[in-house]
Amino acid sequence: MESKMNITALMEEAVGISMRLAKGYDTLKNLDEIDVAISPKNQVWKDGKISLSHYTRDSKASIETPVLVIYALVNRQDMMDLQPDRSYIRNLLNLGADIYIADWGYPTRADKYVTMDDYITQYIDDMVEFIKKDKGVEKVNLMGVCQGGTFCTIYSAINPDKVKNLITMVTPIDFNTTDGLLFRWSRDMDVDKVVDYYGSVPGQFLNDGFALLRPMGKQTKFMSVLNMIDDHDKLMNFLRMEHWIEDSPAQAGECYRKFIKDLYQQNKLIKGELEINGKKVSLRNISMPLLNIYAEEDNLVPPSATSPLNDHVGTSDKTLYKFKGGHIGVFVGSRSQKELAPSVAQWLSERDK
Amino acid sequence: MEESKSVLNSWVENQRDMMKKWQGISENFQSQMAGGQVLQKGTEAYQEWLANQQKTMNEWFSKANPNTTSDNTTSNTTHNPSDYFKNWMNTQNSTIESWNRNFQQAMASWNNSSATAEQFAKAWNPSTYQQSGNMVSDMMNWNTQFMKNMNSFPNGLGTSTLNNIFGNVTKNTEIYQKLYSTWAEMTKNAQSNLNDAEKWNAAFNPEQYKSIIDKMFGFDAMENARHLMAEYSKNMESFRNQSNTFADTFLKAGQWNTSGSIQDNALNMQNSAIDAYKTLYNNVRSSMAPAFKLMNPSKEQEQTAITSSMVEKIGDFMLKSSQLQFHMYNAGTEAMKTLSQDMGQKVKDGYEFKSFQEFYNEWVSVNDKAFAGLFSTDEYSKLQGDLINLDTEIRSDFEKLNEMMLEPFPIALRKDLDEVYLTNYELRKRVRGLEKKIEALENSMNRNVNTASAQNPQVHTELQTQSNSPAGLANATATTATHVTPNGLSNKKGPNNKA
Repeated sequence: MESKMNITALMEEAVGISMRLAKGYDTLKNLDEIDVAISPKNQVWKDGKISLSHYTRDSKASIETPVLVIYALVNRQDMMDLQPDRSYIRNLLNLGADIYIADWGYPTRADKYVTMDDYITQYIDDMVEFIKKDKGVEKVNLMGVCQGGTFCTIYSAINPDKVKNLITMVTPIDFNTTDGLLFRWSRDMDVDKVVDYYGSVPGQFLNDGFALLRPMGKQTKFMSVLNMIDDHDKLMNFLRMEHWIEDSPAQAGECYRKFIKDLYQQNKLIKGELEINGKKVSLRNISMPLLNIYAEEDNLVPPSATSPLNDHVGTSDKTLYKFKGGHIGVFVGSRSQKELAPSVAQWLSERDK
Repeated sequence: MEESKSVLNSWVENQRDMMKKWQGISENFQSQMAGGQVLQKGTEAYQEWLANQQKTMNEWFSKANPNTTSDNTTSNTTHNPSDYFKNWMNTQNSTIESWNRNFQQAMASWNNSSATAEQFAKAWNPSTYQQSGNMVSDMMNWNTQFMKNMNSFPNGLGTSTLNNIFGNVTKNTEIYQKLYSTWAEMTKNAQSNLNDAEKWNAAFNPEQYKSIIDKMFGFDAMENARHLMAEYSKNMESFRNQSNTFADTFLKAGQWNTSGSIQDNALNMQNSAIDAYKTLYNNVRSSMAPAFKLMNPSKEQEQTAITSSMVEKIGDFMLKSSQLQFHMYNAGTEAMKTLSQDMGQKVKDGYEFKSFQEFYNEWVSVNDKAFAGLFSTDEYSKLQGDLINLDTEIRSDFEKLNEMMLEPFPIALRKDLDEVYLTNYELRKRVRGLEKKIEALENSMNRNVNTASAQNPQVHTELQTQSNSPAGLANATATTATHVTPNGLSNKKGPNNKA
């Protein structure tokens, strides 16, 4: 059979890409600001570079127990409130939650000695104590994201009396998995050398690794921009996401060292061997209700690293929630807005008394 | 023969006219840039010239006899249309380069110009010569120049994020265009017999494809290696200045060998990296041996030892880096072969290509799998880990050397600052601990006061006085945490105190 090929049409297609590139330059040139995380909030507590903010509400919260959101030290918590129509935080606020959010700031070499123990037993604990007093409650709801979820899990195991409900989102717990490349690669990295040199590990160092998880991701992503150059809203969505990716704080060196060594390399948490402030952490101490959310297509924290938490906690009230999407889709995907946020709010409401 | 000669003369005439026009345009280029007219005029002139060239060449191709030996029209005249065309392309390229240079000069005023990038792109649209029999080459030539210009657009976008995004889009568009070029060549070569899938594979150009992979993973820049080499050279220079003449030989040896190996061809990369390393290492050892013997155990000797060890690590880094790249090229080439076989089969089955995008999407998908497969191997993980380790070791060595050199000067070094950071960290921790103890004590005393006053109002005043003392201390030492009021004013308080 003889095949047909319209070379001229194909050439025009390739040339068209160059045309769109030129147009893209003009479009980008006329943009000023990329706004993210615009839901109104007030900073209510601060310790050095670390702070706590409280989202403002127009009405009284229907879920009375305040929620403390602990994001990872990787990238920024802005992801949870990326833009008004794709804001997990805004959705939860609208559904009656009273939300506080931690901001880890931008660590520098001067913060190299801050440990994982400090983040958990000092900063998170100070925030919890502050909220308890601020709201006059005995316990708070903890919502941890990714690495922040690991911190919240450990905190809840150490302080079960201060946590009413624990929600973990795309949180690594079982690090002995071969599903995720990060888990594989971390075993061949000498974290001591990295921390000893950098002090605080640059965000770009981590981003370089993340970029390789989807080898052709950058290629497809940046080519897709050319197809949205006429659609202002779509373009702004893309730019906000890129802004978030670029906004990558460093990780305090000693914290990073322990997180990689004790968790990624030696999987101590799930084995019951992890020590915080010299004391072993037992996941069996997690006696409060648990909602563990994992993303089915997560290539950063695969389900095999997340879901085992439910098998190791002491509570009988535990829910494993499967989200159809990826690591970031949990916060910005349309399914997140329509399904996940309402499910979380309902789960909290049912356990608020 | 005479006929060919007149065509050539006509061609030379064209060139001359073009350059005259070009000269005039160049003179006014800057001044007219603001209205965007020069872009238009320049482009029109270029396109007119190009159209004439096309016409001339098409006529010549149609009349020339490939088997006829060329006459003595010019020493550069070649013996067949194919070679002649190459010469023509070279001339065309150099003219475009000239246009490009002028354009670059005008770029400085780009931001103040009303001309837009889109106008520029439209003006440069090569549609006028799309009917050429060599469309693919023409188009790619156009695109290459176009991309060069786009790459040099000023970083005048609103934020660094926008600049980075545009840089990334440009880079990935280049990859897209390069891939198109590879694909177009394959397609062109297969056109004579579209049923022959083998022709697709035979037309694959691995060297061209290598440049695509280089761009995708940033190997083309080899920024890290260059950075290391630059620092290495700088360091050697300092070393030379403050130690002895032996270092001069060392410096020369190091620079000569290492700069050569960066530019090695991918296929020879591994071997050449090994050779370069061996040469470098031997040179270093032989150059420095006398210095080692002469020096007393001192900073200089330590410095030399670190330098020597660092050179060894750089060699090792380059070797492992080339191994990693080698795996990447292999994975990419295998993926492309798989894809071209699939495409060849589609052609054979009579599939009609509607767009390059189809091929591109397939290419992305096949490569994603190929590279993800490579990245998940133990060998890749080990190599990547080794590279990270070596990178940080070399950087640490640089740092040590730099600190040794700076030690005599009255400035705070990084190691000094690290000590300050540690002291600061420990002090803050201690203060925080004390604050908590004081707060607990204060709470306990307040409870006692309340209990006592409820039981015996007379002791209330005395206990109240006692409880005020630690509270005062608490306020004096509580410097670690701040309660921030909504109006922006803040009160220094302990971490658990509400303002």
